[in-house]
Amino acid sequence: MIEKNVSANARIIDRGYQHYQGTRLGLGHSEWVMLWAALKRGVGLRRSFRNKIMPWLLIAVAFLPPVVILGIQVITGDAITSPYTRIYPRIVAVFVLFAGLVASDLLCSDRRERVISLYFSAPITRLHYIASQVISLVVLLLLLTLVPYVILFFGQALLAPSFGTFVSNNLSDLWDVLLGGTLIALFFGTLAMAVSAFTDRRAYATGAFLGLVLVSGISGKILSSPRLHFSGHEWFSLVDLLSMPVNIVSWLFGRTRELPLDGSAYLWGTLAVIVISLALVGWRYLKVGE
Amino acid sequence: MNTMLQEAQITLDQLVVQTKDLTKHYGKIVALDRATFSVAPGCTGLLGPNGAGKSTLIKLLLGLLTPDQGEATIAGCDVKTQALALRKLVGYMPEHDCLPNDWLAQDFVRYMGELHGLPTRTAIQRASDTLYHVGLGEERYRAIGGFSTGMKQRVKLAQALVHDPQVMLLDEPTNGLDPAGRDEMLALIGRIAHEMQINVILSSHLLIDIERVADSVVILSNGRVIAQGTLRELMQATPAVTVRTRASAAPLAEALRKRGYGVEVEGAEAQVEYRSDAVYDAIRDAAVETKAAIVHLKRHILSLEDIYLAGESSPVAAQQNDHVASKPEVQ
Repeated sequence: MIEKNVSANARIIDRGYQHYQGTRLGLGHSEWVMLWAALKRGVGLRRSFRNKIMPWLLIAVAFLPPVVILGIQVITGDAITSPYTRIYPRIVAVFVLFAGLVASDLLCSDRRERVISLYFSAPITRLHYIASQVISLVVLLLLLTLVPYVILFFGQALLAPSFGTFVSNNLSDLWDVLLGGTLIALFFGTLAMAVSAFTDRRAYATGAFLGLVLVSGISGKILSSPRLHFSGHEWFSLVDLLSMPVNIVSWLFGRTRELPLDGSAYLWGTLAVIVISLALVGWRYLKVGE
Repeated sequence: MNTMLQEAQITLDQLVVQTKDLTKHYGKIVALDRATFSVAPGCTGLLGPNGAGKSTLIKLLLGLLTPDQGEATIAGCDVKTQALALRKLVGYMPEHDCLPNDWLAQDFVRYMGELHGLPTRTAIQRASDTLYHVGLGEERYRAIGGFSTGMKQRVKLAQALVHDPQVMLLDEPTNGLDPAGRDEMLALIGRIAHEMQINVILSSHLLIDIERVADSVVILSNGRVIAQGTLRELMQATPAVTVRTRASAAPLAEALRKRGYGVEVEGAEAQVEYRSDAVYDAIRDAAVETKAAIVHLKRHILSLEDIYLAGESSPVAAQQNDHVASKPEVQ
């Protein structure tokens, strides 16, 4: 209970404006702040419910295959060996949709609402801004392309008769998943960012990215088909942006017979797309915000 | 970086902004032409019509654009070589809409504070305080998209203030506001400059806004600085004293000319050159000598509008009009 004499002495003190005398942190702090804000934005944290639906739905779908596989193994006791090459081609559409939606959200809104001119008036460079947005999208994509399969690997190891034996016998699978999942995230993340850098409308950016990947996927598959009897048709499989990074996973797991070209061609193709996409984003942002 | 910042700290007796021959072209169009001026601590108005080069000047001072020629310092930092250091010391409020609609006001102002180098805890505290100071204390946990134009202008001001800058660059802060909102915004800017002791450079094409809050002014026209100084200096820089006599003013004028003053006569009215208050003694003596009956004596105090219009119609400005166009929109 508040004593009477205390409440009588209580005062509201207006501190007035306080000047800041403390330390001002450097670029590393600003970069982390931007990265963290983009990560939260990508999954709709501190935003309306509408902005949370799609990212979390897609993340849930990405976790579904490993959960189902582990569930079956728990119930039946039968382990599916190296399930990764079967899952990735079937789930790749989820990665593409996630990348298209989140990339447009991260880049287009800042330009459309012209917030970017405020960001560039802060002590950051264009490079820092772009890096934070690209890294955040790739990190979020890793949540779909990598984390479920790492969980699957260790889940299978826990269900195996000997955890240590399973891990040591299948360690190469883990490295292949780490490399494959990271390349898929980098590929779709940077490509989606490159497309989003060319428009400030979210719907156009998402539509253009999905269209590009879909059209290239269909045309690549048709043109590289062995039914077309012309020499060098297999090289058209490099046009297929939908399958290119997934083909690397098949190559890493030794399923090379399914691939029209040597797996290294897809690795170089993927790296080329990543580099070109980053260059396009950088070029587009040279003059943005002036 | 900290060393650079310490070196960049300014004291109140130092100039806030100094430019020399600052020039910026957009292709063949000259947006800013050899602008040389200095800004003392306090509130300074940057006055000029649309396309005069105000926004280009502000972007040059922020280090967002690189000058084609000339040099400039703001808060002691060179705009060409210390762009990142200066932006920690400068707050910027752009003219156009620039707020993310789906952010909460508190989150956005805090975010801008953190981008300017404030530690997270400090940024959270200062965001709340700053929104309170601009009159949005109760509204700070609402999404910016639901705010009125006046409230959005306050959020823009808060994000420029949150990191306690040494200089604030406010580009047309009263744009789109109704008369009451404009009054409140100008009062707020006046408080920032005079109570919070933060140097303000206020860009506007509205003379009345500048007259109300600014201590000094830099007038731009077609990319050139046509006048600069404190409002008191500029308004008192009247070239003449008006004397009206009962009869012809010619004898009085002649007596004044003998005393070394330039005089123009039209009937009973004479415009006497003003150099100092000694002119009043000379007029009195000449009136006694010529037995002239003075019925009216007034030194005309110029308004900012007079200065602005005089600058606009000056030969320099006229010459500039021939070959300088307004700047284009840059994406």
